[in-house]
Amino acid sequence: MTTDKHGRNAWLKEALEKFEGPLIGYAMKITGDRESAQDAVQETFLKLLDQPRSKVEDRLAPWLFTVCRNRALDTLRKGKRMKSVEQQSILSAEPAPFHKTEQEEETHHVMTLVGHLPKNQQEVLRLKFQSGLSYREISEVLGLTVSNVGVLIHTALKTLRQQVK
Amino acid sequence: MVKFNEEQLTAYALGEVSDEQAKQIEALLDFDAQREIKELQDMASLLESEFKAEPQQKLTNSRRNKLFKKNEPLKISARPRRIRYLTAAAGLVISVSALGWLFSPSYSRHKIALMTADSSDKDLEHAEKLRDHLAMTKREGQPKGRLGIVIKADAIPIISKSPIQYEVKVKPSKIGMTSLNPTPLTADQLKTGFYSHPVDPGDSVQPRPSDYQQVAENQFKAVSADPLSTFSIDVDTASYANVRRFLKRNTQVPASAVRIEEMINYFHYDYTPPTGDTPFAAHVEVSQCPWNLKNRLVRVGIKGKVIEKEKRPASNLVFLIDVSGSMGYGNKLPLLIRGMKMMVNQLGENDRVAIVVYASATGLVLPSTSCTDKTKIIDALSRLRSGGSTNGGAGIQLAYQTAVANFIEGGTNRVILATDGDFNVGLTNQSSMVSFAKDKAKSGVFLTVLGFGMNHRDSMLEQIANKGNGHYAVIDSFAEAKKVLVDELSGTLVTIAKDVKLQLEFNPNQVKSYRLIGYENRVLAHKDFNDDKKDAGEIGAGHTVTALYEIVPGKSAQRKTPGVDPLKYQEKNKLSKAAENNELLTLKIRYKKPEESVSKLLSFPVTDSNKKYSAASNEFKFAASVASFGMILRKSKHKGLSSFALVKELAAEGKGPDKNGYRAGFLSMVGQAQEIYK
Repeated sequence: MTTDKHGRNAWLKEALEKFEGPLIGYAMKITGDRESAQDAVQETFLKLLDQPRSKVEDRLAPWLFTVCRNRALDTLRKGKRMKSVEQQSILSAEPAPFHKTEQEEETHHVMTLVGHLPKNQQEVLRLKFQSGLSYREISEVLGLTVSNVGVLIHTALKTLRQQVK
Repeated sequence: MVKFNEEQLTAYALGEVSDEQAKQIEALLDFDAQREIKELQDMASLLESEFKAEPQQKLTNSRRNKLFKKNEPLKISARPRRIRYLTAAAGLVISVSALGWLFSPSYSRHKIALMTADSSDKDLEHAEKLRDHLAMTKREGQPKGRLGIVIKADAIPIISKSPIQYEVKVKPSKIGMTSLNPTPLTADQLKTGFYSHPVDPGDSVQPRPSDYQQVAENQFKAVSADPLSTFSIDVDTASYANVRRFLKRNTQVPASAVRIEEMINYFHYDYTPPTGDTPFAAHVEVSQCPWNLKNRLVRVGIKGKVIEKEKRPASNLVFLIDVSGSMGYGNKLPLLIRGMKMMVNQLGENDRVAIVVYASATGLVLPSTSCTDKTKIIDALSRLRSGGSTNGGAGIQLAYQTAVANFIEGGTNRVILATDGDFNVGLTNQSSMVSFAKDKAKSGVFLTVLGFGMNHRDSMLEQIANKGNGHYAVIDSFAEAKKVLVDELSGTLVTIAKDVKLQLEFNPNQVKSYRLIGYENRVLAHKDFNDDKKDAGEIGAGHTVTALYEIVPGKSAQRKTPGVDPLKYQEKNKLSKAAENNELLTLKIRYKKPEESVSKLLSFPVTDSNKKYSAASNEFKFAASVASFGMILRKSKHKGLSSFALVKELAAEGKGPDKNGYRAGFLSMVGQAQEIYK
């Protein structure tokens, strides 16, 4: 039926337009490479098309990020197993290795500072400030409590504010 | 003393607490906590803009195609990239496909926005059933659901949002835009919050040239050739916030974004209010012109009658809120909602508030509700979400209908339009919007336009407000939301006079030439002064309006047309007896009372007492400072001795008590500009 076709495509288009960029960026932070991030996001959207819309429409953002995160982590695990590197949770509190870039020189630049935060804090910041998820939505994606999310964001902001002062 | 922990304060600053928690926290906020909140929000805004400035990747075409193929198994995906539904004329048959789309789940967030204040999950279910029902059966006319959702036939969306508008085009300026070529922030910038401005991707884009109208500056006019100067008052303040926004981005300000009269009128001036029946008092001050010492500067100050908050007439407010996707950023819808909640708390039993939202569809989310039921209004506000594309056209019609339907005789009837001005579907043509607003102004409903974000269509919003008997302000921060929605509440809401026009007649014996500073797009033809059909600006209770003229003093040469012989049968123009007195000029003001259609005339002769600059009032100095600053930003050829140092000196001298800190804010902005324009 035409209605359905229009509706479905419009929906997909809208969802892509809004989320593909942030999702790819998010997945890349997990997998570390562009191709597997693209794959993870494509798989996420393929999975979305299998869902009855009424199930996901009200929580599209957390749904997409949750699925995308799981896909990306899967890829990461597979890759890591092959290299027999010990599985490392993205939520580990270790400071993330951050690529040296020209921006590195500008130690004042806030994104450089963000790159030095523990990875779990980086992740919540990205979900909150890039994708505009609420605390509750972030807690869904990460499987944390809302107050956990609050603490992570608070700590991250506090650190950043101290460092830029 | 502090009964909440730091995490809660952070959550509060980010708008992540419930209204109840917010209330509890607000009750305990001290100065330090407030500063803390400001700093947190500044950091949040910075992060938001930085994250959004990251280059956004798209799925590769092959991956993308695979998705669309799966989505449409029956047909080969050779769809045009953009789907476009044509805007149907009101009252036409709504096709099933369009309706299906209107209710399509892709706008789930929008659908939430369409829920009425008292709707529950059950209502949501109902809405879904309604949607399915509508999708199944072909229906005509305008469906009206139980939710009070009003669907206008002409609200049928055109989905194509040109991809160009989404692209973050970073065109590094001389100074360097923060997104590509980040300027390291100094500790001081971060402390003062000067970098801080919440941005959406569009905001890092240079303003589209069409968004700011090029305005040619007023020039000096010879009194012998043109002794009259006629213009409409202007109480808009948007340009000031726009200028501040550019400077915060470390960018030079495009000349066309500088409207000096709006910058001057951003500030409140301490003029004595009128006594008796006249709706306003005029205060003219003449002193030495600080940027051209040979010239005189005339300041015309008008002060509207003050109406105490308690004596405010009943008000009927209809908020028309743009909830399209682009409004979702922290510096737009959430900011508006917080400001509105504060405002609603100031309103009383005589006030009514309705909320109309528009995005791809238009909906009355809150029917006109008395402010005795604040919870209901606040709830409705809390439910607003963004999503969908914009159709300002249909929304504005519904908003005016709602305002007219709840019209309060003798009260304040006003539509308050909040948008980032991204009218991308429907009645988007500037002139049709403007003529619509102009037409609706006759209904007695006034208009306030609040611009959000950097990319709003400045000239369009200004003109709509202008023609719609309105007022235009830009909201770029929580402080600004508070200033506009709360502090100026009584001023902007209660219109005490409309179509206020000023005409100055200069005495040729005293003045050689004159220049009106700013008000370029408010200049009227001299004959329009007495023409009651000609629209002009409104003035609100307690408002001040300030205009500056720079004049070249001295006796005008006799009028003659160069290159033409003197006339044989007519005498040279003779001056009247009145010219022999010492009067510098006569100020005439025409105005109408809000509900009347015939104007009244006030007339004030003005004499120059040859006051030196040092004897000028604080208010005079401060207004001169802002004008001088504006001329520097405009790179005006009339700026004379204007320099940032002069601007600062004048502003510091004229700062006065500065209760709200706005003038201090100006001083720090000038400091920022000085760095940028070094």
